[in-house]
Amino acid sequence: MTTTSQSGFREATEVPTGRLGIWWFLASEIVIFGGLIATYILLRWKNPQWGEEAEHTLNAAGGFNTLVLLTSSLTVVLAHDAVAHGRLQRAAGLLGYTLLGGLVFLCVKVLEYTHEIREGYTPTKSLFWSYYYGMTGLHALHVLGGMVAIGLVALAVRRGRHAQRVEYVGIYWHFVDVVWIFLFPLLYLAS
Amino acid sequence: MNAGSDEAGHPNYVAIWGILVSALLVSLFLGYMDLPVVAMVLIFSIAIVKAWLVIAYYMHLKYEPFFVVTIMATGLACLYFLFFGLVPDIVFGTSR
Repeated sequence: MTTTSQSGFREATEVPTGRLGIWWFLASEIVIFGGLIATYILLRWKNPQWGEEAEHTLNAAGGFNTLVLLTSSLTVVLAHDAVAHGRLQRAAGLLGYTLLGGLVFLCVKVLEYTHEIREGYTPTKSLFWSYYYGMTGLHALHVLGGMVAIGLVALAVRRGRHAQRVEYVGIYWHFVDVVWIFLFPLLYLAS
Repeated sequence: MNAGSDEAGHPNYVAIWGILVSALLVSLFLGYMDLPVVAMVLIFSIAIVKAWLVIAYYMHLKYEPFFVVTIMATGLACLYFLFFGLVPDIVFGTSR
């Protein structure tokens, strides 16, 4: 029988319970985002003219947002490293930079949506744009959710509590980054 | 010592970030090339390498027990069956 030790480790798996929970959660997220990406690839295969529609997405904005997310991934992993070295105030500060990255990402996304909708590329214009807004919108909601979690963890870590949660929110944030690494070429570069 | 590790054997996170940003710049450059098929193959190959770097070194999957790898592989296996299960309907069927 699997038991949980006082340190929070699942004795059968040698993984802390919280971290194990995050990995299971991300396995379900793979199916959600992966399902959207898989059907998008198949429909794009069937409809090569979608490439012309993808020419209207903003490569520079997408590239800038990729840079922002990659940098925020660096700050959150450095926060985890700071926790490992017992530097909790530094970890809280680095989580603050990660939050800033998330905020910049969302602001750029809002500007992109505004530009595209003003040009007439609304979610109902075609199936390509439905996928574009559906996938990037769902991703943006995950960024927002991650920002809330990171903000709460940063406040707790600043008070010297729940330092192990920095790793958990970090793993989640990196996953959001990985999803964007695939959305960017699919929706922006592949035109 | 390799490019991804410092003296203590931990990943050099800043060096990995440098590789990721360099790969992003190459992808952006390829996006403007007039060789669609070659550029697309390279762009998606680079995306897979970037994702692997983040998963292995930032998410630390490389250092997790095999059990955790199987959790993630389960999700990917579901996707595999979904993708190839939909090919006959979407690509060769009548859906638009």
